Amino acid sequence: MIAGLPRGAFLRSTLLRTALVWAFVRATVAGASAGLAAAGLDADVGPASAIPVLLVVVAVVVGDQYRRGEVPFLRNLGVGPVGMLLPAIGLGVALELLLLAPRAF
Amino acid sequence: MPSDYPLAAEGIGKSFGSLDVLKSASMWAEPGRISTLMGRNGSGKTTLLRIAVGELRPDYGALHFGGRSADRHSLPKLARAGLMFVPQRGICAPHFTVRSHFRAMASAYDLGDPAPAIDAARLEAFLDEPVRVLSGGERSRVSFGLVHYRRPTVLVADEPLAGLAPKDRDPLFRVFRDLAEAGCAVVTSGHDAIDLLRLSDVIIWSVAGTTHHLGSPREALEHAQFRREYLGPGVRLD
Repeated sequence: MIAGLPRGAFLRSTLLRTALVWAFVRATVAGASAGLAAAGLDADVGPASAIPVLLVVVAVVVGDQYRRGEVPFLRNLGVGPVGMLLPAIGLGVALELLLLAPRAF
Repeated sequence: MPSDYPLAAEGIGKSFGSLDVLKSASMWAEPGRISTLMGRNGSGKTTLLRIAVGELRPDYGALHFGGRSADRHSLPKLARAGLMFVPQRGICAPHFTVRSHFRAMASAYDLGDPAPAIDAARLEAFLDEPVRVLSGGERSRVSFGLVHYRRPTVLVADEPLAGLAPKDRDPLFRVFRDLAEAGCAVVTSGHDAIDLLRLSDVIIWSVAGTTHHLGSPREALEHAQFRREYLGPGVRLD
C-alpha cells in the first residue's frame, strides 16, 4: 500500500509549491522559446516539453521537502518516497493538461 | 528468541567505506520495557537504531518486526505497522505549526481528540506557532507530544535527552514510562548515564562495533568492564 500525504497543511503546502514551481518553470520555458523564436530558431513548447517540465517540477518540490526538514515527520506518517512524489506529479500532470490540451485541438 | 520481540536486529554489520561501524551488533525491543543503548560517540548506536527502523540497510544481519522478517522494510512501512522513530533532531517539520503536525497525525492514522496529548506535553501556548520559532526543549516536547498522541507499539528514540534542560527531562520520562506501561516497546540511546540508568529497564552496551546486553541498570552497574570502560567510577543509582 502506498500512503500519500494526509489532508491538511502538508498536502496544501506541497500543492502550492508545485503550482508555483510549475508556473515559474513554464514562464521560463515560454520566455526562452520566445527568445529563440525572435532569433529565428524553432523551439518546441508543445506536448514534447511536458515530461522534462514535470521532471524539473517534481525534483524541485521533493528536494524542497528534504531541504525544509519535512521528511522525518512524513516517514513517521507512513509516507515514503512514492507518496511524497504523488501530489506533485498529480498536480503537475493536471496543469500540463490544462496548458497543452487546447493546442491539441 | 529475539526475533519474537516486536523489533529485533541480530548480528548486524555495517561499513561506511573502509570504516567498520558495526561488526556484530544486536538489539531487541521488549514490550512494556525501556531498553537503552549506551556507548561512546562513534560506537555505532545511531547506525544500529537507523538500521533497526529501516532507515539504513545493513551489510549483513537479520531484522524482525512483529515476529516477521523485516529485512526489506522501510521506515514508512514500519510506521504504518505501529513504529515511531524519533531521531536526535526530533521529527517536526520546522516550517509547519504544532497544530498542523497533530492534524496530519490524526488524518494519517485516524486518531481521536489530541487534547490529552497536547495537555500532557504542555503545548497549548504555542499550538499555532511554527516549530522553527520554538526552543530545543519545546521542540522535543512537540516530538514526544506527537508520540504520546500516536501511541506506537514500538518507539525508537535516538538520544532523546541531548540538549534538554533537566526540567524538561521529567515530562519526557513520564511519556516513556506511560508508553511502556501501556505495552509499548521503547528503545532509547544516549550518554546521560545517571538519567538513562534511572529511566531504563534494560541496558545494552554498544562498544567496538558490537553490543552486550547487560540486563537491568543494577546489573549494568555491577558489570566491571562497563563501569571501567564507559561509566567511570563515580556513577551511582542512589
